[in-house]
Amino acid sequence: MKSKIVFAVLVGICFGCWDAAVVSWLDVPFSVVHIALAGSVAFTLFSNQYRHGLIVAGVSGLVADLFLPSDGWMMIRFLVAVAFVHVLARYVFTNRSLWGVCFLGSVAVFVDRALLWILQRFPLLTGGMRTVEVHPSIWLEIGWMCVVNAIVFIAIAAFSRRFHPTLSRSDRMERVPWK
Amino acid sequence: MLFRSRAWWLVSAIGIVILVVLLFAGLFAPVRKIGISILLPPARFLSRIGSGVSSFLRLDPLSRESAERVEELEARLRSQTVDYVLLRALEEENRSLRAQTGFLADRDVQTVGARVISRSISDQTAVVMIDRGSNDGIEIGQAVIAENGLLVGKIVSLTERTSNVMLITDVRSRVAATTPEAGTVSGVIEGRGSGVAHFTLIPQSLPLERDHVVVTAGTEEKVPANLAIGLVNDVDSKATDPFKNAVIEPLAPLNDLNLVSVILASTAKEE
Repeated sequence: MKSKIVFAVLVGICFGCWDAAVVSWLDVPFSVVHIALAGSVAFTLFSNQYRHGLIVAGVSGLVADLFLPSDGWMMIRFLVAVAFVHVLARYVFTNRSLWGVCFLGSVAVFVDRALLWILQRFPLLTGGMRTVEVHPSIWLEIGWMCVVNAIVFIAIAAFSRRFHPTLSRSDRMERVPWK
Repeated sequence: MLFRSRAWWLVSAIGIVILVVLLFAGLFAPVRKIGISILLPPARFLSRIGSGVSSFLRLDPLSRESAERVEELEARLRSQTVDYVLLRALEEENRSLRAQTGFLADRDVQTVGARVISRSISDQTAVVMIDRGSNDGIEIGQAVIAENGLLVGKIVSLTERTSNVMLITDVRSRVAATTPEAGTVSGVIEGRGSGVAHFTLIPQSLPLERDHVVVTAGTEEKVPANLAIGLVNDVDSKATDPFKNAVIEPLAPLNDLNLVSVILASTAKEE
């Protein structure tokens, strides 16, 4: 359990460092490749330690907050967005089809943008927030989120046993090791 | 156990609220301090990768050669502009027979070098983070320069190990400026976003033409005089207005900053 938490923290640090120190250098069309939110959502939707998605979101947001010159409260925004998606994924939209995960990813982007909008509208809430991190258009970001989730979905479908179809009795008979 | 129960999300919500309260109360500062101390080296390393990828993506293979040529010419222009400003400053000094607040080359300028870790440059804002902070003697308001003493911006906020630099093109940036000919304060450089800055509040009496050099006025406590800022690109002047404005083309390569220097203190050389 502890090793998985450590793993989640390390993943979060990597995501945050990537967003802050690499992606922030890219011009707007390319800067869509933020990984912190997309990675946290993918972690939440697909990992068997899905609750650790919150740790990934929190740590990656914290690292991005530390090393980006903006004050966008990314840690809080990511935590809220991922928690919201998590609740939806566990209790409302339990279907993990390709379209389902794309939809849930889009919800995370919308929640993140809504929080950013609120923070910008009420700067007093954040002690006079002055600089917001650079964002490409929301549609581009949703597209990127869908790409990330689709890649993870396909990778899991291809390489993990979770999505393998249930074997019929005859199949099982044919696949018994001693035959 | 509580986290494993069905009410985990309630615990998460409470946790987020507690985090917000901690942030508001400033009790999160130790975590931030430790985080910066531990993660600064990897962030420095990754910023080099980011910078390299950024410059690679900005250039397609066909235009790379011509871009290199343009870069070389721009570097030469910057160097010559600095020489020009230096000569004008020396001329003024000789003419007035007194030590004016001088140029970088004539000053004992104490600087600290820094690497740009990350950027937040959009249509409105232009802020970069550097890997030096209050531990290195940096203070809010100090001038940040690129190579050859070209003004890049000013320090706007800092931690012990990092600082944020607001570039001169940020819409909130204001720098007292003048021209070498004018000598005293003659206007303010205001950022207009998207890599553009305007020279405003210029008295009508001040002669200003395209390609004139704009430098810092030296009236700000932590910004020395005669740091080259940019070249006048276009002058907007109406005889009926008390002031005229000019569009400035910043000389420092603001989109491609990797290494900068922060001017900690400057004192004129003893005559």
